[in-house]
Amino acid sequence: MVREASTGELRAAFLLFKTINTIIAKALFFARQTTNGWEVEEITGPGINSRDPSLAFDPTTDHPMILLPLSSILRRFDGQEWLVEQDVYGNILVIDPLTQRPMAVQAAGIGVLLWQFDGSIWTESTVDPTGSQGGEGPRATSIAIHPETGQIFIAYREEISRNIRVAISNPRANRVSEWVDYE
Amino acid sequence: MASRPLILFSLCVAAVPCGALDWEIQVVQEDVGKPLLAGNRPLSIALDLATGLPLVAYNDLSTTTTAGLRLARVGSTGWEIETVVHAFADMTEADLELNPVTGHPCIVYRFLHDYLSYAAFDGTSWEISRVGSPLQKDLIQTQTGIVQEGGRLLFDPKSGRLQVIHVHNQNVVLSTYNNTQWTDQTIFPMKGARECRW
Repeated sequence: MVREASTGELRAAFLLFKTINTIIAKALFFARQTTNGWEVEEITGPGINSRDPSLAFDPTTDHPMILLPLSSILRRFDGQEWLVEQDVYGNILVIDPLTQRPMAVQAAGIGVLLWQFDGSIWTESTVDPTGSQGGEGPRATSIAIHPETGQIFIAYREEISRNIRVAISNPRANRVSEWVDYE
Repeated sequence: MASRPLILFSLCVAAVPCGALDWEIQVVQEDVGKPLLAGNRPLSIALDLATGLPLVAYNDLSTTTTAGLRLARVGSTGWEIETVVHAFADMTEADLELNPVTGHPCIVYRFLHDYLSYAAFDGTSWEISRVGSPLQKDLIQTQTGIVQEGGRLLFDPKSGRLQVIHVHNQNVVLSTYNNTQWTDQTIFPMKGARECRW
């Protein structure tokens, strides 16, 4: 995943699959765009055995955090090292524009869930209990959040019916700008 | 679907207090078929901040005659669906964004054995072009397998230029488009890796 840091420079997290003696080895990288090009570091340790890394930034420190869906591990950079946080679920990691805290969408065989971090614990809530997904849900799910109202939009493929669905939350704050009525 | 989504958007701001989340599930399109490969089901949602309404890009494989990349957006009668490009193949990635200058949707996508492509809506029709320098050839297939990853699309906040991060010529590359041509900047060589995920 690639995202823009608050400086306007790009950051990317990606996973490479290499075949070494018929064994597929995976390596997780974090790339940082600088004025002199790209600085790339390999992240080692727990959690790298996962597809589709999802990248977000701590809104206070701008430090990166990478959610690794299959291993349910969050790797969070604290300025010096990549810390390991276990039992963090979800496929897509975003920062909630209202709370400025991490939020994750999970869609893999158990309906569609939303995980919200309150600063100390992650809490799950159900978005669509019937929205089952197959084993590989990450890229079949996508989220957008309105920066002013906090209204959450989650698009996903429902595995059984093969429907394209969108889950729309209620707005969580009043919109600052003038509301346009579409009726 | 009729006009229900629009009523929802109009009433929610005034009627729903902040706090707990309530969800409305809307069906954009029924039965879009089953991809040939289990992992190939990407879609992408983007939000039009001018209207507060979402757009969704996805692959529809429901019938061989109508299959293709679709864009759904909320219109006056509910979800309105248009075909961006016809292709009966699994889509390995789709990334949708709205052009911050024009406000029109843009999609980067790849079908299994195709090149990474860029679709830009100009207000009336879709213009399709290939991502990356034409002098280089994408890494599509190796002896060990097919590179199935697509690209990630974003607009440079400073220049407004379209940028795509993707796998190109066995490198992880950032391609930048100046509305005339692409320039590629290598981020990292794949060094024999067969697949890249992000």
